[in-house]
Order: sequence, then structure tokens, then C-alpha cells
Amino acid sequence: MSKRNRIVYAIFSVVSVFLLWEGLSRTGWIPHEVLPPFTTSLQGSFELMATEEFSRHLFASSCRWAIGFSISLILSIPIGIYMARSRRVYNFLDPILTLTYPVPKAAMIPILMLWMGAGDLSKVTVIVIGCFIPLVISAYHGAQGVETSLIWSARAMGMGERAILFRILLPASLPTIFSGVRMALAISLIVVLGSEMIARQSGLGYYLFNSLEMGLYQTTYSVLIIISGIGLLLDLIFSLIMRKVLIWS
Amino acid sequence: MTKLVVQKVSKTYKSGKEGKEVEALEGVDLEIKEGEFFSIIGPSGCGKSTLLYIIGGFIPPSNGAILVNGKGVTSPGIDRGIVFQEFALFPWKTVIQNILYGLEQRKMVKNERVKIAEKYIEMTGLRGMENLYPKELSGGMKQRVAIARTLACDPEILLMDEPFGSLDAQTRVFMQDELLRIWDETRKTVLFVTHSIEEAVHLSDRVAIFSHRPGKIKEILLIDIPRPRIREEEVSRSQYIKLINYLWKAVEREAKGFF
Repeated sequence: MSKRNRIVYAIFSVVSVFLLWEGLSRTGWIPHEVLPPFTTSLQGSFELMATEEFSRHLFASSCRWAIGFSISLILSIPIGIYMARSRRVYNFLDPILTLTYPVPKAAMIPILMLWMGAGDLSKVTVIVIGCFIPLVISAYHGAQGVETSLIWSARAMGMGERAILFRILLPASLPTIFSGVRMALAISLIVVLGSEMIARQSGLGYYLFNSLEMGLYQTTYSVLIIISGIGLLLDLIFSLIMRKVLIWS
Repeated sequence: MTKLVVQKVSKTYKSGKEGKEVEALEGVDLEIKEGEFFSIIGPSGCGKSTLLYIIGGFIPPSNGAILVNGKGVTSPGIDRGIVFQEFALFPWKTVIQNILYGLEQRKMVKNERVKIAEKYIEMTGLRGMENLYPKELSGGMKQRVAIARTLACDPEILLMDEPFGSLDAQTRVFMQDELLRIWDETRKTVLFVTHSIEEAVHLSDRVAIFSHRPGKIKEILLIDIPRPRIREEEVSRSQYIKLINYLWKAVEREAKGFF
């Protein structure tokens, strides 16, 4: 399918959902209070973003997300690559990863709060944990798939173990790592909102669930629209970076 | 002067679930002179590549030693450059960046590095392709980059592991002559692994015939065809035909002994 066709399809699918939403609400099939029309909610989104209170919450979430996501990137990618390089490290870490993978990250939030308090530390930590496994696994698989002849060539050029990690394995694994980062990106957004929902102080998650409990459904929908907009924006930025970095593949 | 000595090198490794011991190489002895073009031929799986990797220092021998300039070597070093059949280029680097990558390990002014890279781009006929990525190159071009990259590091010995094995027949013949021309310009010591008899005869000063598992040297043949070797003249020489026939028979015996 051509690029133009793909864009046409994407617009068509999104617009049809919005139309359905608008229609269900306007015709009264679903009561207004429970599902305000899309256009009203969208207008509410713009109004919300103009308020100082909402900006504060948006900023709080953004900071947590940026810090947590960055830490998990910095931590997990070297670990994943190192696992591919050392059998011992792999044998030690693999069982831990396998055991912790199925644990829902939301379930860890109360426990982390118990240890670290309900503040930012526990929220950032849970983001790091949530992104850790997909990132480690993608980096591991990426580095594992690097051909031995590439590493040998580098060694014959006089590269030491460190140079091989950073100048061969890391760049060679980037295509695989990027797919892990994309997955981690989605997980991190879910986890940020979830943690703010459980430990209610500030942030988009707080705002969202507060409006829901107070029965301000239109605000809830407006916040949801903003959140999906943010998700779309991040994914677009991510794709742009990926295309730029992986120009060679 | 002797450049490279292979001393009673053996290699056994465990294979399969039961860890059965497989003998890949058995007591290989070799002496290669400085500036010599030396080829190893033998049936596939005879351990000739394994020997090359041991010389490169990438895998350890079970027994024996490798001496370069009389000194034992046990790990890879810039004195031994390697070219693989599958090129092993860094796909995220352009042609010139691939060639520069190894040089960046040295203490050297940037200008000097670029000058060296340019020299080998010229020598290997890569002018105009400097800024292409490997995925944009044909097999023959990729192998030129690999050769340029290895030569730029100025190794004393060039190890080549079936470098033209994945090229189509025409490109292969063309690259053989290109290699001869480059070798003539640089006069490196070359250790060349191949299973093509014509290739070995056309290129080499001497050819070693490997036996099938465990790999050991059956015979070393002097290729006393005068240089420069011009293919069109060569193929009608009785000396050339005799050598080819002799090698065919020797290799065939090895292959038959296995089947």
C-alpha cells in the first residue's frame, strides 16, 4: 500500500470512530452525561490545556515520565547487551526476568509506595521497572544476533571489549532495540497514569480519575483525548528519530 | 624471511548433546614467508577456516602455537587483518566510515586517517562510493570495502576466508585479478582459504592441500607460474593445466575418502 493510501485509511478509521461517538451521543442512544459528544469533549480539551491547573498536572506527569523512561533506557540497554556478551550474566539474570515478567506492574505500585512513600520516587521506580524487561530483552536479542565476523573484524582492528560493546554491539543492535523502545514507550505511559491513579497527588492520572469520581464526565473525556494525543505525538517523534537513526538499515 | 609459523596446531571441540569430541585439526605445521601468497584448499568442513581463525587469534588451539615474526600470538592483533566471505561490514557506517573505523583506534590526526582511507579507496576502485551504505552495494563492491578496510589498518598478514565464495562467477574472476593487482602494490603476506582450485593456482605462490577431518596438510605445492599472471595466457600453459589436474585429483581423493 502506498504511503498516501495508508494515510487516507488512517484518517478514515479515526474519523469514523469520532463520528460514531458523536452520533451515539447526539441521538441520545447513550445519555449525554455518560458520553458527551466528541466535539464538546474536544473543545473541553482545548479549554483544559489553557488552564494553569491542568498545565501543572501535565508538567508533573511529563517530568516523572521523562525521568523514569530515561533511567530505564540508560540502565537496561547496557544490561541487555552485556547479557548477550557474557553467559554468566545471562544465566544469572534470565531467571529473574522470567519470574518478574508476568507480574502486573500496577500490582507493584502499592508495594513500592510502602517502601518509598507515595511521592515521585515510587512512581519513577515503577516506570523504570515497567520498561526494564522489554528493553533488556530487545537489547539482548539485538546484541545476540550480531554476527561473530563483525566482532572478530573489530578485534582484528584493535578494539578492546569496551569498544566492542559501545562501537559494535550497540549500533548493530539498534534496529532491534528500537522495537523494544517503542513497546516500552507505550508501557511507560500506561504505568505513569496508573501510578498517579493509585497514589493521588498530582499528574494526568490524578486529574483523570478525580474527574471521574466527581462525576465530571466531560472532563474525563477531554483528558482522555489529550492523553491519546500525547501518545500519538510521542509515537510520531519516535518514528521520526528512528527513521533518522536507522537510515542505514 | 619467515613471517608466520604454525606449529603442531591441533583443535578438538565438543559437539552435540553428548559432547562427543570432534577432531577438526591434527598437528598442522606451516611456514609462510614474508610477502608470500599462500592458499589452503580442501573439501568443505575440512577445518581450513578453523585454522585461519586460530591464526587470527579468534579461537584458541587445543595444542600447538602460532608465531608471527618469531613471537607467539594468542589473541587477535592489528598485525593480522581478516576478510570474511560474508564481508562483515559495519552496516551503520558508510564506505569511508567503515574504512576509517579501524583507524580511529589509533593515535593519529584526523587528516592522516582520511588520507590513508582515501589511498585505499583509490586502490580498491571505490572512488565515488565513499558515502554509500553497505546495503546499497553489490557483493563485489562490499568485498572491496572489506579489503580496503583491512588494508587501511596496515596488517602484516592478510587472512582471507573464502573471500570470493559468495560472488557470482564473473565478479569472482574479476575480483581475483583485482586482488592480485592490490597484492602487487602492497606486497602483504596473504593466507588465502578457498575451495576453488583455479582460484588458488591463479593467485598463489604455494598451495596447501588439506585432508578431510581431522584437517591436516597432505601436501604443499609450489605454483611456479611466472608473474604477472594473465588469465588468458595462463589457461593454455601446459604447466597450469598440469597443476590444476594434479590438484583436482588430490582434492577428489580427499572428498572420496570421506563419502
